[in-house]
Amino acid sequence: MRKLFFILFMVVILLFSSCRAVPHSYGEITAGDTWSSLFDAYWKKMNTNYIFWDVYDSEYGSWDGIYDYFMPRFEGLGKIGENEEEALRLFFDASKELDDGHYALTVFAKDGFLYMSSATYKVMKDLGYSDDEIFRYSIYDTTLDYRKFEECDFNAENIKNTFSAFGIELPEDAAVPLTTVSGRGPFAAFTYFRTYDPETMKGMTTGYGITDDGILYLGFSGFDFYSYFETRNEFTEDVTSFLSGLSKAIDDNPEGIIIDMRGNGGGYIVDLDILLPDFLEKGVAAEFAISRRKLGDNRLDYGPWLPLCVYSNERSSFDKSIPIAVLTNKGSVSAAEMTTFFFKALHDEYGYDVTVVGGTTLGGHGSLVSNENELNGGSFNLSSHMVSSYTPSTEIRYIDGISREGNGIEPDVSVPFDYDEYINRKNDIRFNMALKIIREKL
Amino acid sequence: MKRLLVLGILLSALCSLSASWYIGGEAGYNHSFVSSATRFPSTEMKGFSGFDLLFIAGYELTDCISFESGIRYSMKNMHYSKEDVDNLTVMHNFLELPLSVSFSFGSDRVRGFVGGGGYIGIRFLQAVAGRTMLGSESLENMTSVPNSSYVFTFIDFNSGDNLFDAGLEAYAGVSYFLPSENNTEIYLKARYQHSLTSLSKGQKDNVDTYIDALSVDIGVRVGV
Repeated sequence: MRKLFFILFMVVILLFSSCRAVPHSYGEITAGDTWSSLFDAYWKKMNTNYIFWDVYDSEYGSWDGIYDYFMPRFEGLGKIGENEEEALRLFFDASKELDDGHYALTVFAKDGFLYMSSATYKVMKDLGYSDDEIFRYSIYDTTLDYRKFEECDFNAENIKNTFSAFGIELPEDAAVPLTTVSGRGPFAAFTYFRTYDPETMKGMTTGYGITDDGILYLGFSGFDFYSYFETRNEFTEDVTSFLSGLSKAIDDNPEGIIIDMRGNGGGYIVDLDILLPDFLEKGVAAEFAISRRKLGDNRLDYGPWLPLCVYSNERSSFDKSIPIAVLTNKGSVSAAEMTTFFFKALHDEYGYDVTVVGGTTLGGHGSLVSNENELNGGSFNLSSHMVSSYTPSTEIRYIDGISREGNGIEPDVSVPFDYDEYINRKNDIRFNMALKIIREKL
Repeated sequence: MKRLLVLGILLSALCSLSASWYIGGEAGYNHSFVSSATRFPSTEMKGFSGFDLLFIAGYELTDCISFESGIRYSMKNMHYSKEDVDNLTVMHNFLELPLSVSFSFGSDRVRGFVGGGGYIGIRFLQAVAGRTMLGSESLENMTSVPNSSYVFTFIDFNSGDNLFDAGLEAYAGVSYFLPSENNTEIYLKARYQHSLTSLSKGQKDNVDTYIDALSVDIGVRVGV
């Protein structure tokens, strides 16, 4: 009897163990010295790291279709170093349909490199540029005329030019200490400063002003306040003083508020927790978005949607009857769009008077980390940075759950951008519309 | 295969004909075994505890051999962890239709049984509970936006999820016929399920995830 059971048991085990394949992952993904091996590695990393696959739509059917179409073409290009422009063009064509508003791909060749961004591709496509023209732009071919692109709101409408329209000129490559001036543009008083790092050639420009009739304006170029608290430097004192002054200006119950997100390229999402609690009533947790990550290697292995909230603090005492206008354009992306989501949610869910004015935002809704292994996805490099892909590890949507990735947030009041009026005549039509909307409510 | 068939016939010959139906129910604890893979470091998917509920219906061909089916609700859970980031229980809920053949032996009162067969079913719900992280920015010295959230929520299925469930199973146990009710028996059963279907599907280089389960159930069967 014992032998019988043993035989039966062994039969069962053998039968069971032969019935399915052993699961396997890519393991460490590396590329060889051919264009096809580089594309293969790039395709695989995108397969596991990119998060927006559920909204991806391609003329090749799917990301699998991209592999099937482009791999044979890469195989025909031989070793890296040969047929470089053809290889860069194939990388461009394989990646141009990605919806991610943050997405950027850099591919280095011996003679030059490709830098393509989803944002640039979409904006240029909307302006009527062909794929050939956009590709040439992405490989820094300066022989073509890109004036239409340079003069669109994505490139031209930003804080520096807006402050210039107010009569405040700021340098491109220098810091400006915290300064308060009077009688500039429509403002009785205007406080501003600019940080600047000569090594990175980057800085943050920010300012707020009060009009004669008590309307508060706030505009800044990016969400970088957190960095001045994380690492104290020569600008931290100005940042602290600025935020303190801004907080007081909000607490003084202005007649209306204009939040200018135009040309704001985003930054630290935690900056929302520095800036936005002042706009809440005490004891409120304002849920304005939902967020998720990947929990597996497959393209659609998503984790749960989790709420993103801004919590009020001990200073919070906002009067929600104060009308608010949020200015947006194609240069409003990432944390700037999160801020727009926040104010939209205050209107849609919490009874605030909010109007979004200007142009459609870019559609880059996610947060990024520098190391793909930190949150199992997102940005990655290949072959000693020969290929670099910049993409979020976390997807964010407005509380209605609809993806606006790559499409952006539509304004409530659409105002066309006029380059000549804005730059040459220093007549900021969109700002003037926001001012008009607020004043009509007073 | 031929030997198994001959064995089956021989065993049948040892039994006397009875030919009767029975119904019953069983419930118990299961522990899952996860077979999957990932290319990311410090990331693990392991088995976890769950439970089964089963309504059974069977046909006794002889007093030794019976065929059994039923409807089983099974929660097979797995634990997903990434060091310092995620500590989650993922709960997969299945409705399964098992079909098996069972061979019993022993006395009139206490009998042992072994059996095996397969099941098909559907995964109809998935939920997740535990702690997960959304972003990596430090929030020390900041106010209270949490970047590490405790969560208990459902996860919607998408086209990458395989909802069809099928596999093989084998079990063994011991039953006791109640003295007062000769057609009622209570039993203790250990069952092993081997999944043949992955939780995911539909893409090139799909990383499969299989959940097997070892259950310990108690049940009751009543002749009708």
